[in-house]
Amino acid sequence: MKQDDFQLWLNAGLDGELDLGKSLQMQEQLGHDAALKARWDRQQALRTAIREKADYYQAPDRLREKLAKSLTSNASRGGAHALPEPGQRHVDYERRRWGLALASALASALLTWGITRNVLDVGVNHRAALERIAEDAVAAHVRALMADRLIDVASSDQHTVKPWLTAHLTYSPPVPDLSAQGFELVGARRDVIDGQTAATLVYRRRQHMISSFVRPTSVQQDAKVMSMRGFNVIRAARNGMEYWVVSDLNARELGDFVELIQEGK
Amino acid sequence: MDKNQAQVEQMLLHMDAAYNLARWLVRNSNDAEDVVQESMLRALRYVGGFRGTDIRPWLLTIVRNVSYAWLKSHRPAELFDDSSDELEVNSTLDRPDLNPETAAIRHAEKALLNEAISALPVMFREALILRELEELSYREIAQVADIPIGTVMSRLSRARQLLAQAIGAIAHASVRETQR
Repeated sequence: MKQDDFQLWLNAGLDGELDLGKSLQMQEQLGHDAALKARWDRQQALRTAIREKADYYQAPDRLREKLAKSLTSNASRGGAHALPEPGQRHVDYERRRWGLALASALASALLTWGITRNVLDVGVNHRAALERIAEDAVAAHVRALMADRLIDVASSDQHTVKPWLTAHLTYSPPVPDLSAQGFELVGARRDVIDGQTAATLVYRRRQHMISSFVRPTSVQQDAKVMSMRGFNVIRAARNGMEYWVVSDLNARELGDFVELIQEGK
Repeated sequence: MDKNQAQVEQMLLHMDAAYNLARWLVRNSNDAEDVVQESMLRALRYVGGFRGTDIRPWLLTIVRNVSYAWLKSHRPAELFDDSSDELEVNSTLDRPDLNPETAAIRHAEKALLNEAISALPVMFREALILRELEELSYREIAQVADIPIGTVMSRLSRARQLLAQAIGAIAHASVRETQR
């Protein structure tokens, strides 16, 4: 691989832009290639530094006030006006173009901003939220291993596990039988992930326990691998269900598992 | 009108993202406020035509364009910096021991880091901010900056190398300073 390509590959891996196969290949190579690992560590350090230390500038309140004010004064002047001269690209022109109702909707939304922003500020906190969910998932997995509380319902029969989950949750996650592929169903439990009760399916591969948290979602998300406290964590979403899969199983086999469970019979 | 109102409220949720991008691109809070104000006005005008699920990249595209228009009329030199494509990037392969640089990055002061990012040419700064602070995907960055995905990849890669070297160099200089 040319050095430039190599650098792009490394960056794409860091950014979660590789497909699962290439991502696992990178993880494996990182395990035994010290030079690659050094470059990876440097990139990781840079990312952490930027995300923790670089300024994230929040819109000052006076900007919101200014915007609200210009909209209200515009609204009180009487809403939509004639089209401006062609080519005139002044802010006033943009302003005159919207009707009264939209302007006042925005103005009132701006004024109640203080109340809503804490609840709804999803974009900014997106990354922190993902990390928190991964931590929740790993913590629940570890707790289950330590407390010998792996399962609420112990059964290798999908037809026992699924009704139990359906009875205890507001949704019905797929519970595929993957024994033919070497993943034995152990049972299921409920965990609180991200402040919500989620279904957790427990499978076993040799001596490795796998916790697979499932909850409904409207997004699609290609599988992404991360590593946390020595566990591999894979997040993926397809067909209306989001999966967070945690195990000490190697990333390659865990990746296979995620593919299989998403096909969900 | 209900649909419009919902979209307006969606946009307001991303006002911080809009301001953050503008602030990093024009590098001044007063000018960033003007840019965001104009961007929001423009966004409101066109929001009826928005057909998508995630309004944030769409809004950031407008902010980015207004920022560039602002730079073009106030500080054109920053946009037409031909040297940026030829900026020297030392080969990392030539330097087997990256650990000192990695350590410098880990221990970099907040002010130093902000300064180093701020000093990157605007196209690299933009890619880095969209990726690391706004967490856009390569595809979304390509949309916002109106460039092919391959260019997103190379700009990000270059941005990170330049930044790592800048931090390493500053740290190295300060070590020599203390040894003197």
